[in-house]
Formats: sequence, C-alpha cells, structure tokens
Amino acid sequence: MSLIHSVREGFDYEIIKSSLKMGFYRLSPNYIKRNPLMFLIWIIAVMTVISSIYSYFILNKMDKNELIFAVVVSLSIWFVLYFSYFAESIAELRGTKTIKKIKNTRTEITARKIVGSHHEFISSNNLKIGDLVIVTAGEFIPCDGDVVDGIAIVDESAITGESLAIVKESLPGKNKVIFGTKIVSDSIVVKVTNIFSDNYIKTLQETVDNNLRRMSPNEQALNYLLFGFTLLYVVMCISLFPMASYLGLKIDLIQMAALLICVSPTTAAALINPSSISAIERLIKRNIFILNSKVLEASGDLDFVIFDKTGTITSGNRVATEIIPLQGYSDKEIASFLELCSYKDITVEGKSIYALVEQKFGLKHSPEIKKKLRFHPFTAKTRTSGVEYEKSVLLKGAVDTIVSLSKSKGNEIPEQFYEIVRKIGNEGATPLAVMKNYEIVGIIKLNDKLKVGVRQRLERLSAMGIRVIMLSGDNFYTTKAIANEVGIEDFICEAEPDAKLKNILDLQEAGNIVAFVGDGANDAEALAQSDVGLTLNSSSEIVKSASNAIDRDNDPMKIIDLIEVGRELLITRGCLTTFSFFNDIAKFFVVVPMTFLALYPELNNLNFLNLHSTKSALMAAIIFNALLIFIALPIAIYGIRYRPMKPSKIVRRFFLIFGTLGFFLPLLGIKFLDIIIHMLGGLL
Amino acid sequence: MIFANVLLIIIIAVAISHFAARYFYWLFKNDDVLNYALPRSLHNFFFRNDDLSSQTYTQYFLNFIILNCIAVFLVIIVLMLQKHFPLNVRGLEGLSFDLALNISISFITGTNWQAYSGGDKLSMMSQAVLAFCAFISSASGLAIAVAFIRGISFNPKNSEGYAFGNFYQDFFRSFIFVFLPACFIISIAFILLDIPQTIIEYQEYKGFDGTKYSVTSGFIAAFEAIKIFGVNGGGYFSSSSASYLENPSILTNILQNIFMIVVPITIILLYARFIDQIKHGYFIIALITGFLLLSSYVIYSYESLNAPFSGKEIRFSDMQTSIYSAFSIMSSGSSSANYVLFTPSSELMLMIDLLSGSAVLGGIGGGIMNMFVFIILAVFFCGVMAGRTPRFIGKKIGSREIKLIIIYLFVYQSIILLSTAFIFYSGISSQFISESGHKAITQSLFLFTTTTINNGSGFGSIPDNLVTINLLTAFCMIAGKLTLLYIKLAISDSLSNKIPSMSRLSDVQIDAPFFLVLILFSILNDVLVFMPSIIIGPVIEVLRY
Repeated sequence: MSLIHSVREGFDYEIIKSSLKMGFYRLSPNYIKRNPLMFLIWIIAVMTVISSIYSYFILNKMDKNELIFAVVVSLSIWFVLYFSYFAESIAELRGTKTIKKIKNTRTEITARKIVGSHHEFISSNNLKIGDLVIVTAGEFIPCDGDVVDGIAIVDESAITGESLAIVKESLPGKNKVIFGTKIVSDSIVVKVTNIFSDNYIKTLQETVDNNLRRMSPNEQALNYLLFGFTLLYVVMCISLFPMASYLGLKIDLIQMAALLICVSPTTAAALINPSSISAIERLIKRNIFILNSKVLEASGDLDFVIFDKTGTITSGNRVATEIIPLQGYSDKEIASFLELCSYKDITVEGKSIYALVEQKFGLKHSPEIKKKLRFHPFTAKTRTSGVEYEKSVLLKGAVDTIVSLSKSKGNEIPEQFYEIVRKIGNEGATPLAVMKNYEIVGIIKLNDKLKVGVRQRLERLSAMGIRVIMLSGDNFYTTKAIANEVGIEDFICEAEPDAKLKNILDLQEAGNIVAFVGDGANDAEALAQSDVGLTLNSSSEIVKSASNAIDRDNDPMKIIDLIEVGRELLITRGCLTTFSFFNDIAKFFVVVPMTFLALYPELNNLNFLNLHSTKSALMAAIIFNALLIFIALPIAIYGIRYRPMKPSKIVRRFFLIFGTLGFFLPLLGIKFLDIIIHMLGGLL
Repeated sequence: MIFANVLLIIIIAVAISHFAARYFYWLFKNDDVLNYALPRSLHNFFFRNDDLSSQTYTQYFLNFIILNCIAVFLVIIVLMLQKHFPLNVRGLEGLSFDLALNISISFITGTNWQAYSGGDKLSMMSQAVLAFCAFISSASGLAIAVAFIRGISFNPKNSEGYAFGNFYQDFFRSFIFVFLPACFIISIAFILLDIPQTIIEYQEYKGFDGTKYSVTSGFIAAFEAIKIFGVNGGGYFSSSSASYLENPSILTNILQNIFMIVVPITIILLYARFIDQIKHGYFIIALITGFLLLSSYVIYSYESLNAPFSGKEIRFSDMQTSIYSAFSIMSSGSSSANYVLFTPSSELMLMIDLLSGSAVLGGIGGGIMNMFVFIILAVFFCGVMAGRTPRFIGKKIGSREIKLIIIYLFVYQSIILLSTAFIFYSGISSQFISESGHKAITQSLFLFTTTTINNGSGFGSIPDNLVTINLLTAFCMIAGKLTLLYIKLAISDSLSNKIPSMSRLSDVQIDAPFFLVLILFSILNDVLVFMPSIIIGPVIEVLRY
C-alpha cells in the first residue's frame, strides 16, 4: 500500500538540468506577477535584499553575525521562489516529454494517394490536407476527410460503436469519413481534411501551458485561501512593529520578513501548480487527452456517468446465437442454407452466422457446389445478402425488408413468425429473417456482445460512488436484459436522439455533475452539454470538437481512469495544503516566542526545542521552510494514489498522516539545522 | 464539581433551546403565521404597506441598517438632551456627542461595551431608551440570523424569488413573538427573585451612623431580562452583574448563565433544522460545551488558588464567578468580575476564548454565523482531501465562498490588529491605558477584540471622557458588526443561488466527531494570527507569575 504513485521511470537528468535553468529564468517579475502569492513573496524577497544592502553598505551598522543572518534569510526567501518554479518546470517538461513520445508512436496506415492518373503508396503520416486518396473494400481509411467521389459502405463499429454499417457518398451529411474505419464494399475517393498530429499534439501542449495561466475553479479557491492567509500574516507582522517598539524591542525588517515567510503556507503555494500539470501528464500517459484542467476537476466530482449502450457496454457488433426454423424445415436444413448464404459474407453478422453454423452443425458444403453459386453481397441499397443456387434464391436480412420482399411476391407470412420475432425482441436480442425463394423459412437470433470486463469496471465505478445510466435506442426488454447482465440499475430505453441531451440537462438542473460517454455522430450535442464529455479517438471531427476529453485507446471505460486521476489531483492538493498548514502551526510555536526572546528572557520556557538563539532559530526555520518544498516535491509530481473508499475515511487517513508529518517534520528539521548553525557559528 | 455545574447549566439551556428551536422554526419557516388573527391585526397596526415581499440580501441588509440608524439617532438625542427629558429626578447633565455616539452604537450592535457608568450618568429615561435599543438590536440580530440561515438552506429549484425573506416581517416576528414575551416572563422571574423594578430613580435611607445614603434604582429587572436573554450584556450599572442589584443571589446568577446561552444555542438548532441536519447542530453544541468546560475549568483552577482581590466577585464563590466569566466572555459580555484582577493564566484563557469566542457560541447576529465561516473552511479542507469539490448540504463550495471567507477573516483581524497597532504607533495609548508594558498590550488587544467582535466584556477601567477612544471603539464596533454581517450575508447569498445536488454521496460528512477536529483546525489557523500579540501580552504574564 504505497501512498503515492511509484517512481517507475527513474530520473531524467535532462529534465532536471533544464528545470534548474528554467526555474532561474522564471524569477523575473514579469513571469512571477501571474501568481499573486508568489509575487508577494517576490516583493518581500526584494525588500529584504535592499534592506540588507542598505544597512550594510550605507548605514554600516551590521556586524558579522547580522550580515550572515541577512544573507541566509535573503537567500532562503529566494530559494522558496526558485524551488517553486523549479518544481513547476519539472512538471511542465515531463508533460512535454510525454507528449513528444505520443507523437512518435502514432499508428500508420498505408494510403493510396492519387497523383495524376496513377496511385502512389504513402504512409498516412505523410499525407497533407487537400490530398486525395482512394480506398477500396477491405482497406482502412487513412485519414479524416470528405468523400469526393463514389459510394461505399463503411464499418465504423470499431470506432463509433454503431452496429450497422453506414453508407458514405459525396453528399453533404454523408461525406465525412474517419481515420481507422474500414470499407466493407465498393470504393471511394477521399479528400484529406485533417491530420492527427497537427491538431491534438498542439491542443495537448496548450493544455499543459494553459494550466499556468488559467486556473480551474477548485485550484483558484485554494489559491485564494493560501494568498488570503499570507495576507493575514502580513497584517500580523505589520501590526507587530509598533507593539514591539512600544515595548522597547527593535525588530528589523529582515527579521520580520523571516518570520513572515516562515509562517506562510509557501509549501502548498509552490506545489499546487506542479501537481496539476503532473496530473495532466499522468492522464496523457494513460492515453487520455483533455482540453483543460477544468475537465479533470469535473471528472473527480462526477455524480452520474451516462453511457450510450452500443459501443461502450456492448461491442457494436451482434453475434448469431440461435437458428429457429419455420414452415416444417429442420434447423439443420436452415443451417445448410445459411452456410451457403454466408460463407462469402464479410459483414460481421455474416461471419458470426457462418461461425455458428460451423460450430453447432459442423456443416460444410463441398467446393464444387460453391463454385456454382452466385453471390449477392450486402449493399446499402438492397439491405439483404444471399446467394442464387440452382434456380433457388437464398436471402437473409432485416425482418422488415424480408417481410416486404416476401409480401411483394405474394407469399404469406408464417403464423408463428411475428410471435417469435417479438419474443426475441423481448429477450433483448435482434432477429434476422431467412428467405428461400421469397418464402420465409427461418429466423436467426443475434445477441449483443458485451465488451470484455464491462461488468467489473462498472462495479468499480459504483464503488467510487458514481451512478451509471445506460442509454439505448433499443426497446425496454433489450435494454433491461443488457442492464441486468452488467448490473446497471438505471437505464433509459427507446431513447430518441434528443433524449440524450434532455437527460443530461435534467440531471444538471438537479445540481449534478454529469459525464457523457459516446462517439456517434448524434452524440455531439450531448457531449458538448455534459460536464465531462468523453469520446473516442476514432469518432468524427465534429464529435471530437464537441467533447472535452478524448480517449486514444478507443476504450469508453477509460472514464474510470479520468475520474481516478481527477480525484488524485484534488487529494494531492488537499494533502499538500494540510501538510503546509501544519508546518505553519509548528513553525509558529517555534519561531514566534524566539522572536521576542531578547525582550523577555522568560520566554525561554516556551523554547521546547531548546534552540540556541533567536537568530539561529529563525535561520533554521527559514532554511527548512525552503527545503520543505523540496521534501514535498515527490508528492506533487507523482500524486497521491486514489483507492475507492468512503470519503470520510480518506479524509481521516490523509489528515492524520499529513497532519502528523507536517507538524513534526519541521520540529525535527529546525532542531537539526539549529545545531548545525550553532556549530558553524562556533567555527566562524 | 465544576464540570457538573457547567454541564447542568448547558443541559437546561439546551433543553429550553430544543423547544424554542421548534417554535422558531414554526415561526420563521411558515409565512402563514402572519395570517392568524392576532399577528395580522398587530402587523397591520405597525405596517401600512402590505407589500412585504422577499428581498435580496442587499435590500435586507439596507433595511436592517435603516432601522438601526433610526434607533441610534433616537438614543443619541435622548442621551445628549437627557436634562430636558422627563424621568430625570437627579437633574443629570446631557452627555457629550462622542460618548452618546459610542453608547448608542455599543447598544445597537449588541456589543454593550460600556464607556460610561450607567448608575451615575444616565437618567431613567436614557436607561429606558437604551433598553429599547437593546431590544431592537436583539430582534434585528435574530431576523438577520434567520435570513442568513434561510439563504444557506434555500433551494432555487423548488422555490422562486429570493431566499432571504423580508426584513420587516422577520423583525416583527422576532420582536413581538420572541423577545417581548420571553423578556416579560424573565423579568417577572427576576422580580420574584429580588431584582428591583421601580419607577423611583433613587432611594435614600439612613445608615446606623445617621448619615444619608442614596441608592440608584429603577426598572432593573426589565433591563436585566433583555441584557441576558438578548445576549447584549450591557448592565444598568457599570459593574453589571457584579452589582448586588443586578444579580442579588446565586439563583439569579445561575439563571443569568442559562438565559445568556439560550438564544445562541436556539439559533444553532434552528440552523440545523433548516438544513435538515439536526445531528450536526448537536455536534456544534458539543464543541461549544467543550470550550465552556475547558475555560470554566482553567479559570476556576487558577482563581481558586488565589486570595480574592478587590473587584472580584466573591459573593457566590470562585466557582460561580469563573463559570459566569467563561459563559459571558463567549456570549453576552456581561461581566460579573473585573477581569484585569484575574490571575494571568485566567486572563490568557479569557483572551483565547474571546478570539475564538466570536465563532464559538457568540451573540445574536454572530454566533453560528461566525461559526459557519469555519464550518465552510472545514468542509473545504475535508472535500479537497476526499478528492472532490467540497459540498455542503449538496452545494458546491467554490472560489467565491472562499474569497468571501478570506475577506471576512482579513477584515476582522485587520480591525483588531491595526487598531491596536495604531494606538501604540500614534502614542494615544498613554492617554487611556491604565497599565504599562506587556499588560498594556493585553489591555488594548482585549479592548479592540471585544468591541470588534461585539462581545463587550470590559478589561480594566478606561476613562469615558476621551474623544479619541470613544470614536475609535465606536468605529471598531460598527465596522466589526456591519462589514462582517454583510460579508456573511454575501456568503449565504452565494450559497442560496446554488442548486443542491441530489446525490449526497459526495457530501462532506458534517455530523461526525472528526468534522469537529477540522473545525478546530480552521479556528486554530485563525487564532494563530494573534499569537505574536498574545505572546507579548498575556503569555509573558503567565510566565512571570
């Protein structure tokens, strides 16, 4: 049970080297003024330096000890700033490095580019916007683009999850094709409209860079808190001057600056930004891209996740599971028809029918028979497929198409047909009709195929306290059957396209944070409306631009990773803040009595660490204050690990761990440094 | 023994509050109350205008200020011209403007820090006007507390309009149906327990040696009732509850203890009822009980070690005095002892109580409203550490709330610290601070804290004829009351616009013992700002003692 993420990749010395440099450059006021708290510390640092120089060179008032004190204090304040920008640079450079890695590992598809009158084979990575490529049946489309010529059936199920193959032609609304989808039949000419690397790498880099400028709501709240408390301490220090001088104690500016920096929550202030950048970087490593850090925070907050059934819970393809004969045929006879019908069928359904026949009945016609067949492939126009064999026609297809075909030839529909079709529908399956010579002879039952591991991952989601809603266009029974199978309680069936949007709006109006996971072309609105809209890399450009998170592995269940990293980010920030505030409490109790030791020697009773002097205590505290940023840096960079637990239990655990650490670590460190300073003081 | 004593007082107070909270809930939740025959006719008698619709928080606050301003002007006029008003048998002179201003602001803000000696300087008419002012202060304080609670619990999805209600309606309800009847009953009880209630301004009697003594008298029982029940704390006499006329017996002493905390506790329970988290309310009361037990115990254990000094109440034993001090420093600020004569350790305890006291228990218009700031801070810490945007009863705590909380802390700490710093920087401290060295720090810090958080406990004697200090404390009281109240209403307003989420899974568990630890943690972070001044003030004395 390690608390933070393990350090897998070890140190990258390049990053550390350039961070050391970058941290230094960022100390310029132009850069620092973005963060008010850091700017305040910067002003104090400058004032301390000026005050030291003034009293040493111009007033000539400082003795050697005072000079050492002034130098140590000034350096320590500068180091607080330097360390915090060093941390920021490390997080940023790690992010950039990960993005670069992704850029280099993108999958390639060989494309046939049209050059004049002939084709040229070229890698999809080398395509440019405006190029024309030709793609024929069985090939993958090498780019996002528009169809300019031809008509083809494209299987987008691996990507959009829609089980039906879609017709693509050069008509508006039907002309968008997606990278990585497969042509089932015919061929088309595609004009390249988008190149992956151009867009997403840029967006990612922007996400990492933007985090420095635009803060997410929670981060902003936390920054207000830290800045506010620092301001309170400024007022505290200012009010101390007249009180101390009334009592006859001269407190100089340097001493006051040291006190102020010691007790301010600098550790948290320095590390909150790096922790956000690191969280984004961890997400990129898990192959999820987000638009901005706000999304990450929203995913930690999610109450509801709405899944579009097809493509997320079920794989888009349906699988044949049963053959029901009609009109006195035996199931073996139907199976033999189907063997003929499907052996050349390349649609997913056809393949699954062939597999079923082969497995269950062990049928295989001889190659001689097969030579005599005339095959009718599935096309968008006919919506059926089949063969002509010795004057008889065998066809299979959607129930309504087959029924209307059969009726048009004057054949009657068998009695039990509709009853069986309804029964299959009630079980949550899809029927296909089989027809011989325009007479319906059997029904094939197609079942939705659940994606691997869906059930366990949905359970994980509910363990995190998130409610899952399944949305489906299917009828009640189909939806319920699948919902039961994966253990989802809430589902919405027979959803019209605008139902998605409506449900999200309703939930949001009730004050919930809602995520929508979907990738179909009709999901764009829902994705745009939801607080977290996760889509897949394979979906179309419009859908992607509507969503604010994209999974490159095309795995919709990756929403879990998104939620996990989102929560980890908040927990990390919370722990850093607790750590920092407890540091301050500890330092308050050590440093404040020591400040007035010269005035009231009896305060030595409160010197429970038995420190040597006011100056050595202040020096020890302020040096350790800068070091604390370094000590807590791994927490910010690697992040606290999230495990599904009751929230109150998580709070208790982390509050105790980081509270205790935060309180006792400075005590130990200050004592240790005080001893060293005293020893060095003896040598000097 | 002292624990049993304190617990008994709290249990009785909580028992009364339990029923009072139900009554308050009925009274303020349900707008039909005003349609009953008696309230209707009374209401029509006071308000001509029937359009008393719900207001925004700024309107509500503005109406609150207008009413209070009217009261302040009235009091100032009566105090300055008391010679020309009736009921001034002794022919007392009118007060100076700055003193009159200070007194009126002190009473209207519920601070009741007294820069004057009530028995010697004020006529009966002036005392009567002050009692009236105390009524206005308590009733409008309760109205605004109710509005604040309404804002927090408001669900914009289920209801329309503004969350806060109408100030005059709320004021009317709390004045006529809470403070008037309750104070009437309590005054009767006090009269039965030998607190004088006369219309004779002073009585003369002959001593054994034949010399004539005159004793100031008046409607003390009635004054006492609103002083205690309205959590005001301003006494008829300058020695307040240490005076034998205001607090004649041990029974009145205990009764005053009980009634001092009834209204603050009732408001906590009312808040718990409104947000439907009764258990949470009792956890807050448990926290308060802890504070009261600790400070009573610390004060008692140090006070009982020492021979009594002059000025310390010894009629009812050290224990009763310690308990009374602990209770009043966290609520009304009516003292039964001169704190400057306490042992240093008790002083330190009182100082810490005072600094956290604005949140723990507190007066009407403070109390739970101040505590709520720390509750939200605790919720924020809690939520962030659980990995979620923190939510309080389903409402997200965003950067706006945190910003307002920071402004709140900044304003109230700056007023205290910078005023203290100012009097030492400008040197006017020497004019009125009776002590020197670190004791002067203690005294002035105490003075500005008690006025800013509207507690009103006194610490040492401060001359009443100093224009600077009259104006400075008046500024602290008014800035402390109004700016802080406005910020708190803004926090409530910000929450009132948020739709609570249906699923409470992500809510921070506010009815758990661990949540109290987090509240303490946020209070500690706040009190730490005063640590340097405490170190060079009371702590030095503790170490020297």
